[in-house]
Amino acid sequence: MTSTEKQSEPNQPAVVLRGVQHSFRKFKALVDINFDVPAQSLHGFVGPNGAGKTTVLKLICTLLKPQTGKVEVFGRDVATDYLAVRRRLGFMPDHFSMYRQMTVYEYLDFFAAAYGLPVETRTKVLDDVLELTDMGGRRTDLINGLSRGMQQRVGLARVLVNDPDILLLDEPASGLDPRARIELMDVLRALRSMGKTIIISSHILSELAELCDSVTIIDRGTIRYCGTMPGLLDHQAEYPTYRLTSAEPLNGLRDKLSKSAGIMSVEEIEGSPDVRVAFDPEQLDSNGVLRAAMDAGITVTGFSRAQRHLNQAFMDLTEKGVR
Amino acid sequence: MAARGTFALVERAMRVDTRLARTHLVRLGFAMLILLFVVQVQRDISNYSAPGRDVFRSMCWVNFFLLNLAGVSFFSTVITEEKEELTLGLLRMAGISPVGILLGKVTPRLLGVVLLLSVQLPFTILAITLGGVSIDQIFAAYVALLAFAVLMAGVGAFLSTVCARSSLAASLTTAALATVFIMPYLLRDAGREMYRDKEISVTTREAIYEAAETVEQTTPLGSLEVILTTGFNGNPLSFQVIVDLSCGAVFFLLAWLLFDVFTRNEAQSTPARGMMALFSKRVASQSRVWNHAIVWKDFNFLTGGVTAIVIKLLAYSILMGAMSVMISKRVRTDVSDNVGATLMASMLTALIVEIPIYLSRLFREELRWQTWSCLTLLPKTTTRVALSKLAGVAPAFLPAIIVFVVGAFIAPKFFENYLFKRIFIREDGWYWVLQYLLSVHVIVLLSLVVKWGAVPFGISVVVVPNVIFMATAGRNASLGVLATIGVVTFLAMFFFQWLIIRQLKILAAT
Repeated sequence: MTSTEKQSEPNQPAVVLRGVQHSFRKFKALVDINFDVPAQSLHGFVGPNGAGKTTVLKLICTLLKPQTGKVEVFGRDVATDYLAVRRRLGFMPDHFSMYRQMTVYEYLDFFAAAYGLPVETRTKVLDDVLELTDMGGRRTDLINGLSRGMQQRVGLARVLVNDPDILLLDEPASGLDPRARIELMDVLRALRSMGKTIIISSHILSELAELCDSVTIIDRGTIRYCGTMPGLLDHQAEYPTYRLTSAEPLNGLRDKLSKSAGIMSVEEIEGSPDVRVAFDPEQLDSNGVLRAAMDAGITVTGFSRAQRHLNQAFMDLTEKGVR
Repeated sequence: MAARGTFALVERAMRVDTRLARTHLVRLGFAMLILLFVVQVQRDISNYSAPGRDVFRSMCWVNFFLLNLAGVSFFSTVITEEKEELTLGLLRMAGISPVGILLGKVTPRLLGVVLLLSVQLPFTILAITLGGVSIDQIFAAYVALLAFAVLMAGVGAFLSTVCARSSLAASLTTAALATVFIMPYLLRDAGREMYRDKEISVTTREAIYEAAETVEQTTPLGSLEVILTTGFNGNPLSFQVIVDLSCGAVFFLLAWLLFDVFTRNEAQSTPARGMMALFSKRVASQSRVWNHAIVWKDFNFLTGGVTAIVIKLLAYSILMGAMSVMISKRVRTDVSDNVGATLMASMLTALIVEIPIYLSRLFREELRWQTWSCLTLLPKTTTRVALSKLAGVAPAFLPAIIVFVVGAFIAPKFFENYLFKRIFIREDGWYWVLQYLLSVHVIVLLSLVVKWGAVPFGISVVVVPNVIFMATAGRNASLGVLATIGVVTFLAMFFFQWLIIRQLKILAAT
């Protein structure tokens, strides 16, 4: 494959899933999955345990064949053109699947050779990935003796040796200490800036909030949301909501405000004296809400568009319990 | 607390065992096997002087063979499997004492063997009706086999406590069994030769013969023959039973005493660097991976690389050289033929043993360390990855092949006329080669679905039915019948290859 062929096409979605269903015997792991991942983006894939995240990733990386529907990576069908797809992606599973008896350099050299890189190219590639993952100083160490965070870095270096266009990272931060997490996120940002498409799965939405351009939320085998991160905060909000800050405790004034025309609800915000006011846009606008608050006798010191917390959005989109 | 833990382990193992269809199928298989023996003997009853005894003798040897397989796989992994899964620490943290763990792990397996032998009893009674065997003989034979099972359990518990890996424990068990079985023959041979060369007196020779007899009587190999002689009226608590029970108990006690010493460090259970450890990390890192990376990996990490091959070649050469010297001293004529024949026969045996052992580890190690999915994601087909792995371990067989070829050069006539024309062509050696290759396929497939015992089970599945076939209906089978079975076997190998690749794909995604 030439370098021109290998480059990501920004206008073409990197990954497309259409009508994908997958069952393990009688258990329906995925039910009609449809979503696209734009090329050269960092896409979060979030869901509770057992939601179907890993199954989707395994479908994309060709480990599983779709039973129904279609999965394409840069326009290539994963079921029929799997060898071409494998050349363009790197998958880091959620478990430490490493040849721990090898040294770091042997391990990376092994995968570089397995991807068909000639020996003269391998030296440069390995130096680059070791530098990127900051593992250059540990190249002669046995993988078995490395800490979990370092093993995770080696795992990341491994998926980079064939210079893939798409990186699929399944729970890459699980089990890492806060420092290792932050450092991992820095490496992922660097990779995005290099034009890689990165799909990162996690069951912790807030971890991805600052990192991802877009996010897909999956629960019980169905997609609950797919879009931008800010869009997620507004998603499913029935009415526009504003956050209102008062100079003194609202007490009875809250009921008074809630009875105003066009005000749909006034909710306390846990751990804060503020309230969240939702209104019917057909009857009121934001100025009308402010006016209603002042009419109700509230001394307003702050008034801004209220966004749901990411965790709240996640909780609203996913169901309680484990299936 | 310890007793509760032991009972919990036993109960869980028994429950799991009961739920598995495999358990019941094996028992059913045994019952069917006995019925097959009975039907066969009854059909040709006129050819047998004591048909009941012949049926029972066949059953006893099948049981003995399977007990040996159980010793190598079933019992030798009782503790090592916990070490490899890093679960031994959890059992200790649950407050279960070493003896509790040992009893909890060994007892269900021993009970499994007892149940397997018990299920045969009603059918073996049928042998009495056929004549030639008494209830006392049946009882004594089962006591002998049970005592041997206890010995196997004790040895297994000891070796799996001492060894870090199942493969090492299984190898040592095999070596121990081989030593016990071969020792009487070696002793008798040595006594005879030394007496002939006037190096020892007749008294010493008789003492050596006596020692050989004693060793032989410590296993069912010797005691079963005594039990199955006509008119046996001995005590079921024979010398073999007492020795086996005592040794089993001693080995179990040793396992208990040494448990803490050998199980303290769970970190031992990591993939082995093998002979690569002989190099400094720096040297190893500077040597580059070959362009055929998978071949490089398995050659170095599964077979041990050039160092292991050279060591193995030296070991085989020294061993065979010593045997050649011994033969040249003993044999007056056709020395080269005898030496060459010994080299070829020994190396064929070595290959027959080595091939399934290496191939059973080919994918098992990848699955064990969860690395298979990463290999599958390479832009290569599963078949190509599998073939590359095969190419990686193939050099491990070079030492045996080289010594075999040397043997063929030393004794070309023996190779051509005896081994090839007579054994391989005229005496249906080709048939057994095909069956062996089929069993290797079964072993590789089993290594993907069972944690231990792929080699003995794979051999049993193919060899036992073949031995029975050849001993019964196939005894006088025409070349056409054998050729047809050969073709079916050949096709079955392709089917097994398809199954192996299919299973590998499934496992990559799990």
